[in-house]
Amino acid sequence: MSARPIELIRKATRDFVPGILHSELRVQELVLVERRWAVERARVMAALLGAGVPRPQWPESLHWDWSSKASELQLLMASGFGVWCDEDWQGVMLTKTVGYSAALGQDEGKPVVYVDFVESAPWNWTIRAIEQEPRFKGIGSLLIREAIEQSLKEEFHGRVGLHALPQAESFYGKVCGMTMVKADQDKQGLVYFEFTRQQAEQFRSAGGKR
Amino acid sequence: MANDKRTMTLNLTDAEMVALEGLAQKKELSKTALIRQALRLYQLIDQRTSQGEKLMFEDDKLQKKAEVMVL
Amino acid sequence: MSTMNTSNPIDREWLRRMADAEEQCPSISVGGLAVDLGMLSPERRPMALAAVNAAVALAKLVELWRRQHRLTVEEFAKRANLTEAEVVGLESGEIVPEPRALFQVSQVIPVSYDKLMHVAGHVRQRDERLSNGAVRFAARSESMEKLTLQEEEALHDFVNLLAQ
Repeated sequence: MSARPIELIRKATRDFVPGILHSELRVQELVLVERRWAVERARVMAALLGAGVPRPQWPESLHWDWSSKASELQLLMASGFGVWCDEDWQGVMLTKTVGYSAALGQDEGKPVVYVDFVESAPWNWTIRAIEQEPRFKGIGSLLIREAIEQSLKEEFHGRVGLHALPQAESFYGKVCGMTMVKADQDKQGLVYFEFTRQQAEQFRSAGGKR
Repeated sequence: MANDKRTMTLNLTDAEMVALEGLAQKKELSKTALIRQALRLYQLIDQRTSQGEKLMFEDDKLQKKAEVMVL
Repeated sequence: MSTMNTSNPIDREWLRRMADAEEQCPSISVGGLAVDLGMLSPERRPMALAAVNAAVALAKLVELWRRQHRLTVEEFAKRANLTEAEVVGLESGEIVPEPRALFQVSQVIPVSYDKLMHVAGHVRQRDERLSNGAVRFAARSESMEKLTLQEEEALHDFVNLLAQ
């Protein structure tokens, strides 16, 4: 596994806290992450039920169990990234470098880093219905930035693509500054977003749209 | 370690080299990066076909599918 | 073993700005993998929840009721006309019990077989009240030798919900 030091922001104090960004996460680590987070998801689920929050308003990834696909990490095309801080996994991302091509502009048809999965730990979710505040902020931004770094290393010039869940469209479109390409019928209508190389550079330097 | 690189010599015919250079230029990749992508793709296809899946080309306009033979 | 890469440190001002903006968004989740795993289809979503929670809720029902009545696994198995392995499997919470096992359980624990079948998801028409009750029960109960007051209450409420 490769690792580099990073910083996260603790929400309660707004302090910068040292952490580690691991790339080349292995199947074993991913399965451990999933087991750890499954317990927390159950707690969130019970809290939402107890508060009478209707299911359509629940975080969409609440019931996911993706560890069954963790074995794909053993393929060359797949990469796993994890954010480690405070003795726990705070966020995870899985990317692929094969199977998806850029849809935009002059780079149409050229390879992109495709983000298959990105998630922060359930205790980092903001869920107003049960008054849950995140422990750490900025996990998504750190991980998407890492996807751009991977794209640069792969000679894809920063191009990144992903299908956002509806609740995340504002993050990728407005905050990150990705282009909303289309609602993809091959992905159950999820909207496909893409960073062009220029948008990727803009995100890295100035942080997407203001 | 995972990031250490190893070097090999690749013997290609003229036609293969032309194809490699053409694809690398089209995809704006170095020849090494292009071959790396090809290897990843081949490994993915091998894994999925080993599990019993088939690789297909699909033409939406003509409404037809054709299976790709993979050895 | 990890190798440390110290290149490209991220600017603190960038992180603070991005984190503040990200916090205003409800989610960062992407769905590519979820679609591939079939976890996004609306038909499947409620069933996935039911299956996970049903297994845990039914496991806890059997285990807590058995312990409340001071029965060993062997004694409960005899009463329910199940094998010990079946009872252990039931109490593991890892599988949704088959209809036959549920029927046998309903012969020992005073609950409705139909309602057990609903909780387990064996019946097409789902009962939201039962499903929600199962989740609440699963979250409230913990595995300990003697039932805590909380477990007693949780068991009492769930059995009432399932009663004839």
